[in-house]
Amino acid sequence: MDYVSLPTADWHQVVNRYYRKREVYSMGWAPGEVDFSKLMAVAAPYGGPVAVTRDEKTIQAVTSGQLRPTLAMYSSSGTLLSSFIWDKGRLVGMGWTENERLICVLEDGTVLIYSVFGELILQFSMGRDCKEQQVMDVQVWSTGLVVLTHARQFYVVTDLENPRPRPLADPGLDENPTSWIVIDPLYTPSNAVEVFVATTSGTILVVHQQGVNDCVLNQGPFTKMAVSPTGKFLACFTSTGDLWVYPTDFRSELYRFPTQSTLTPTQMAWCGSDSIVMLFPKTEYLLMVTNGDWVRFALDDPVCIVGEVDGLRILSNSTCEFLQRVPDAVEEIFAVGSTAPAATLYDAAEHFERKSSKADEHIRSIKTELPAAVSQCIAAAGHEFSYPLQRQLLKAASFGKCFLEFHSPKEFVEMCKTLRVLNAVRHYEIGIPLTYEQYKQLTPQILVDRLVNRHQHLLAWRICDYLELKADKVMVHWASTKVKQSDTDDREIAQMIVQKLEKVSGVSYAEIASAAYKFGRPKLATMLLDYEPRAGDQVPLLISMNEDELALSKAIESGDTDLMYLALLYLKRTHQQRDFLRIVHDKPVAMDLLIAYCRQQDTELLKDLFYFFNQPEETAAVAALESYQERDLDSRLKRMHAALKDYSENKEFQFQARQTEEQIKLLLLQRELEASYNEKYVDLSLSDTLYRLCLAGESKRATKLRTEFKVPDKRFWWIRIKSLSETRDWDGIEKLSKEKKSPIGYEPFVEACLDGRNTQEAMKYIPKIVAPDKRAEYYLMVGAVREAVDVALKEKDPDIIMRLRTKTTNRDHLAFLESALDQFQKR
Amino acid sequence: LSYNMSTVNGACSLSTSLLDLHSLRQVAWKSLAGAIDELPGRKCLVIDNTLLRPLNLLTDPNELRASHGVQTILALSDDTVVPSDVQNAVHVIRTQTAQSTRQVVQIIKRQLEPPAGPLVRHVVVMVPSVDFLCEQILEEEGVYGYVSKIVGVDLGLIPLEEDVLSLECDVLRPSLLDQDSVPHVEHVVSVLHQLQAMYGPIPHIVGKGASAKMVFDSLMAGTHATDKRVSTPGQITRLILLSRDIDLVTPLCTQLTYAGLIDETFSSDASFVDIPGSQEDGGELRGSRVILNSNDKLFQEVRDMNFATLPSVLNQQARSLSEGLDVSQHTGNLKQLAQFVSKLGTMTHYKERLATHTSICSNIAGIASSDAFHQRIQHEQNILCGRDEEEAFAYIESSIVRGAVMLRVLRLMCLASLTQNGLKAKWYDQLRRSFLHTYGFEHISTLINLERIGLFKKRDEGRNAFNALRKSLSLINEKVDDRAPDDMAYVYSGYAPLSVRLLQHTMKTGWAKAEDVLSLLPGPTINYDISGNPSDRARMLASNSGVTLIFFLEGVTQAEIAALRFLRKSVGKGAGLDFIVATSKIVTGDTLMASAGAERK
Repeated sequence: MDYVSLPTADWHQVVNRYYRKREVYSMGWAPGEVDFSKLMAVAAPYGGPVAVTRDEKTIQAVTSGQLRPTLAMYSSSGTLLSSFIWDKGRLVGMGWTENERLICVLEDGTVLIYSVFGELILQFSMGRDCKEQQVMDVQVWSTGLVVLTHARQFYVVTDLENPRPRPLADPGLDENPTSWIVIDPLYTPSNAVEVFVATTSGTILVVHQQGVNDCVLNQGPFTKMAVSPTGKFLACFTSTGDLWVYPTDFRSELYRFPTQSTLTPTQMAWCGSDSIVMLFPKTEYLLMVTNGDWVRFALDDPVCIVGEVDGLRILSNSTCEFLQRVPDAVEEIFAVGSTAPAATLYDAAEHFERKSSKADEHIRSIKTELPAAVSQCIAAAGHEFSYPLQRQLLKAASFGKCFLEFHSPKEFVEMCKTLRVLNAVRHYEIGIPLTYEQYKQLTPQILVDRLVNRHQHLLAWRICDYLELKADKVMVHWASTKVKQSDTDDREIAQMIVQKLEKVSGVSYAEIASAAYKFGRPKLATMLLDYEPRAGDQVPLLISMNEDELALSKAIESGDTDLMYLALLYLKRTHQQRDFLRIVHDKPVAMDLLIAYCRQQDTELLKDLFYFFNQPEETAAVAALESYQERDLDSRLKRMHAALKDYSENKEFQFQARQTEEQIKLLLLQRELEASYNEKYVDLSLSDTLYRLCLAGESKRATKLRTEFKVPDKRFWWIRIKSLSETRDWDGIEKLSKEKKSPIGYEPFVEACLDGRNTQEAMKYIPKIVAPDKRAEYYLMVGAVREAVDVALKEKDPDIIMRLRTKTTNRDHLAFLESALDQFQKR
Repeated sequence: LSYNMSTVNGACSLSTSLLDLHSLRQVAWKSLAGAIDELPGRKCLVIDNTLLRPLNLLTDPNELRASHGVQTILALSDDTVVPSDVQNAVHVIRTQTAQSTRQVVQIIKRQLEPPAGPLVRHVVVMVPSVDFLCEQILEEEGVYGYVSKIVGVDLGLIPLEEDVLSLECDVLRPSLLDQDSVPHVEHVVSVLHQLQAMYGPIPHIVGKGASAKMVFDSLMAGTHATDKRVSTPGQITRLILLSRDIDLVTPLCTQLTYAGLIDETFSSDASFVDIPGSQEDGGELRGSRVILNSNDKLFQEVRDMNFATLPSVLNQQARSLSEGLDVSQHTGNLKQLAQFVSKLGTMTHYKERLATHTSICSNIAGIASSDAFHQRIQHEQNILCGRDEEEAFAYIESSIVRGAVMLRVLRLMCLASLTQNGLKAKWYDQLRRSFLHTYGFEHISTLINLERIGLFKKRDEGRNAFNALRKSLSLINEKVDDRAPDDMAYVYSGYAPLSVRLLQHTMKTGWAKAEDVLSLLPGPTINYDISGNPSDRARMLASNSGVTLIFFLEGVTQAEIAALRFLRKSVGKGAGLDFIVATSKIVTGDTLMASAGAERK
C-alpha cells in the first residue's frame, strides 16, 4: 500500500500552494532516437502528439544515415505515428491545429498540412507577396496561422479549410521585432486575429487587419512572450531579465519578477493560468514563477514543454511528465495534516478497510459535511492518473454514500464513466494523457474525432457506444479508411462496409464513396453511393465522378427539381448535343424539365430538341412564337417560312400549315398596304385589316382581300356594318342592305343605327327583322309602341305583349300595352 | 411607383375558424420577416407585382417600417430604380417565371452603372423556395457576386377567409402542361407537411386526378414509416386532393353568385378588388380598391347568393337600416335608447358596407342585365344540357364574328368541346379559322396548347363522359329557385358544379363505393387510410368530428366555394363536412384560359 500512502511525494510547495510534477509515461522510442536538444519540436496541447525534425537553425554534426532530415510525429507516449523524409524545402516553423493537423510553413510561403500519419491533406501558398518577401517566422493557433516576412509584414489565414491569405496592417517596423505572438481570435475582444509585436523600442504593438495600436510600454524590449491558456494574460521576458505579466488589454501590469538572467529563455510557457515556466539555455532546470515566487525543477534530459489549460506537459528524451498545481480536492484530502471533511472520510474508509472501529468515529465527526466530502472524493478521483488511487478515492466516496439517505448517484456514476474513458485513452498505446480538466474542455465529441484521426476506430466507437454519442462519423471515417487500405475486391468491401454500417443511423455513404473515388476506386464508389439515402449528397458526387447519366437517374428518383437541373445542365455542358439529347430522351420527367427550362432560356436548344425527337410541329410552334419576337418583318417572315416547312412535314398539321401560309401572305399584303396608305397594317388580324380598309373607304380593295382569303359572307358583312356604323354612314348602310338579302339578318343594321342614336334610320330595318319577338322589341325600343303592338296583333300572340311589358319602364308605353292586352283578352 | 400598402389592410380576422389559422399566418410572416432582417439597418423593399397583395394579407406596412427598417416599398417592374440614398435592398420575387429574376438583374446592373454610388447590398428572397434556374440567371448575368444572400421563403397557405386558404400563385398550368407540374407538386407537398406539423397528422387521404396522385405519392414518400402509424389523428382528419382536370367544365361557365360575378367582372386578387367608379351617382368617376372578406358582415351574408336576388336583398337591407337608424323610433324610454346605442356600431358598419355594395352591384348590373349577357348564359346552359349542338356552334361563330372578348369566346369554345367530347371536324376547323382571322394568327399557339391539354379538340371515337356524368351526378337542375335555393345548382342558375357534386356524392356513398362515378373522371383515384383496417376506418368515420381539408390543386372558383358552403349548411354541422378549402388561387374561366395559353409567349 506504499504507493497509496504517499501521494504527496512529488508535491512542491510554492508560497502556500502545492505543485506536483509526475511522470506519465516513459517514452516508447529507443534511447537516442529523439534528442530534443538537437531538434525543432512542437507538441500539440490536450495531450496531443509531438512533431520533430532537424533544427536547421542550429549547427550540428550530421551522423551517418541522417543526410536528409526526416520529419517524425510521435504520440505523447513516444509511439511513432509517422515519419518521412523532409524534402520540401526550408522549414520556417510548425504548429498544430485543434484537430491535430500539423502545419508546416516553408520559407517561400508554402503551407503544408499533414495528418498525424504524414498524409499531406492540403497545400497552399501564402501568396506572391510572401514568396517575394520570404517568410521569417510563423505562429500557429488552433484554427489558423500568421507568418512574418523579411519585409516585416504579417499575413494571416483564418480558415484552413478554405485558405485565403490576407495581409494584416503594416506595423511600420524599422527593425525586426524582438519577439511576437498571435492570440487566438476566440479570446480577442473583436474576435479577429491580433498579433502582439514587441519592438526594439520597448513597447508592444497590437497588429490586426484594420490597423496597429501601440500599447505604449517602456519596460521592454521583450525578447520572449507567452499567452495564457484562456488568452487573458501575456507573459513577457525582457532583455534585462525581468518577467512582466500583463492582462491582454494592457490596462495595467500584474507583476514583475526579476530572474536576473541575461539570457533569453529558449522555451517559455504557461502552466495553467497562474504560473509561467521558463527554460534557459545551458541550464538543467525549469524555472517556475507564480505570484511573485518561484521554484526550480531539476531536469535530467533536454525537454520540449507545452502549456495546457490546467498545467504543463514536459516531454523529455526519456519521459513524459505533467506539472500542475495540485487540484483543490486532492490537496484537501492528501495535504499533510489536513482536517477537511473529505480527508476525514478518506481516512475513515481506510480504517473501515482495516476493520478499525475508528471508521465509525470519523464518519460521525463529519456527519453534516458528509455530502460535500463525498463530492470531494469523487472529484479528487478524477484528478488522479493512478488506478489504485482512483479506486481508493472512489471507494471512500462510496463508503461515505452509505451513510447518506438521499444522495444522487449521478455524480459517482458519471465520474466512473469518465475515468474509464480517460484511462482508456491514457493507455500508453494510445498515448493521450488527458487530465479531467482537459477532457471537460475538449469535450468527448472532439476526443472521439481525435481518436478517429489516429485511426483508433474501435476505441472511438466503443467510447461513442459507452457514452451514447452519435457514432456515424466514426463509422464513416472507418469505412473511408477501409476503402483506401484494403486490396480486396470492390464488391466484398462494399458488402463488408454496408454490413457494419447498417445499424448506425445517419451514416453518410456519400462521404465514404467520395473517399473511394478519390482513392481511385470509382466502381466501389458507385456501389456505396447506392446506399446513400440523401439524393442531395449523392447527385453532386456522381457528377464529379463523371457518372453523369447515373446522376441524372438518381436526381429523377429523388424528385428534387434542383438536383435534376443540376444534373441536366451539367450533362448539357459536358456532352455533345446529340449525346445529351439521347441521354435525356427516355426520361420523361427530365424531358419535361428541360423543355420548361428551354422555353424560358434557350429556344434554340428547344427547337433542336423537338427536331431531334422528330416533333416538327413543336419546332414549328417555337419558330412561329419566335417570329413574333422579331422586330424586322423580313426576319420574321424567315421564321414563319421555317415554321411552315416544319408544319408541312406531317399531314396531321395541315391546318397549322395552311394558317401559317395565309399569315405569310397576309403579312406581305399588309406591307404593301402600309406602303400605299401610310397607315399601320402589319400585325393586324385579317378581320381588323378588312375593317380598317372599309373605314378608309377602300371597299374594292377590301372585297379583293376578302375573296383572296375566302372570308365568309357573314363575317364580311359584320365588318362592313361595323365600319359604316363607326363613320355614321347611313347611306352606306342603306346601300349595303339593298345589296342582297343580308346573311346576318337585319338586327345588326338596327343595332348599328341605335348605336348612332338614329331611330329614324333604325325604323327602316326593323320591319325586315324576321323574328316577331325581336321585331316588336326593337319597335318598343325606338318608342314605336303602336307598331310593336301591331306585330303582336298580326302574329295573334298576346305573349309578345306580355314580354314587352317587362322590357320598359315608360308609363305611357306600359298603359298602352295594358290596354292592348285587354283588347286581346276581350277578343 | 411607390406602392402604398397602408391604404388597404383588412385581412380576414379568422376569429371563428375551425383551425388556428392565425398561427399559419404568423409562421408565413415570420419567415418573411426573417428574410427581410437578413440585412440590418434601413432598407428598401422591392416586391414582385403578384406578391404585393398576398403580402398585404400577412403584414401591416407600418410594422415593416417600425420594426424592420423598411424605408420604401417598390413594385418590381422593368424599370424599377432603387432610390439613390438606399444602401440595402431586399427583392422579394417569385421563381415561377424567369422574368422577375431578370428584372432584379436589371435593377442591380442599373445600380452599378456610372456614376456608381455607394455599394448597395442586395438580398434576393425567392418565393416559395430558392430556385436553381433563377440562381443560374443571376450567375450568368454576372450579378451573383453583388447579392449578399439568397433566401427561400415559403409563404405557405395564406388564409383569405376562415374557410379558404390559398397559395396565391398562378399555377393552373401544372395539371395542364406537365412540364411545370413538378415544382408545383413539390410546393404543395411541403405545405402539406407544414400543415401536418402544425395540426397533427392527417389519417385519411382521398383524391382524384393526375396531379393529386403526384402530390399523394410524394407526400407518402416524404413521410417516415413511423409517422404513418401515428394513432392519434390531428385536427384535420381528412384530406381531399382534387386535380383541376377532373372538372374543367365548371370554371368555364359564368359564375352567377355575387362573389363569383365580382370575380368575373373585375378579376380580384387575394381578396382585393378594384372597382371602377360609376358615373351614376353625381358624376363621380373615382374608382376604389376594396378588400372583400368576412370582416365585411354584409358581404359575408350576400356573397354566395345568386346575383339575381341581390338588388332586392340590398334594398331590404337599406330599408331596415334606415328604420333602425331612425332615432325617433327608439327613444321612447331609456332602455330602448340603450338598446339602440348598443346596436349603433353594427348598423354603422352595415351602412358603410351597404354603400360599397350598392356601388359594386350597380356596376355589375350594368353588364349582367344586358341582352348579350343573357344570351351568353342561355347558350352556356344549352351547351351544359347537351341541347342543339348546331345552335351552340352558330352562337360561338357569331360571337367571334362580332369580335367578342377573346377569353370569353375561348371559354365557350372549350365548354362546347368538353361537353360534346370534341367538336365535329368541320366546325372545329371553321371555328379555329374564324378565331385566328379575327384575333390574329399569333394565337395559334393558344389553340395548339388547348388542343394538347384536351380542352378544345376535334371529336374522337371515345364516349362522352360528360353525358354520363350529367346523369349520374344530376348536374342539371333547371327547377332550382335562385332566390330560395334547395340545391347548390343555384350558383350557376341550374348547373351544379361537377367538382362539388362529386364531393356530395362521395359523402353519401363513401369514396370507395363511388367508383362508378370516379371511373368517368380522368386520372387515378386515391383512397388511403392510415390504419388500413376497415373497422378502424369505420370507427374513425363514426367519430368524424375533425376538419376536412379540400385541396383544389390548380384553382377553385368562388361559385364552387359557394356551392360547398351551401352543402355544409344543408347537411348541418358535424356531419363530416366541416371543411376548409385550400387552393393555389381563386380563379375564373378567364384566368384558366389566359394561363392555358394566351400568355405563354
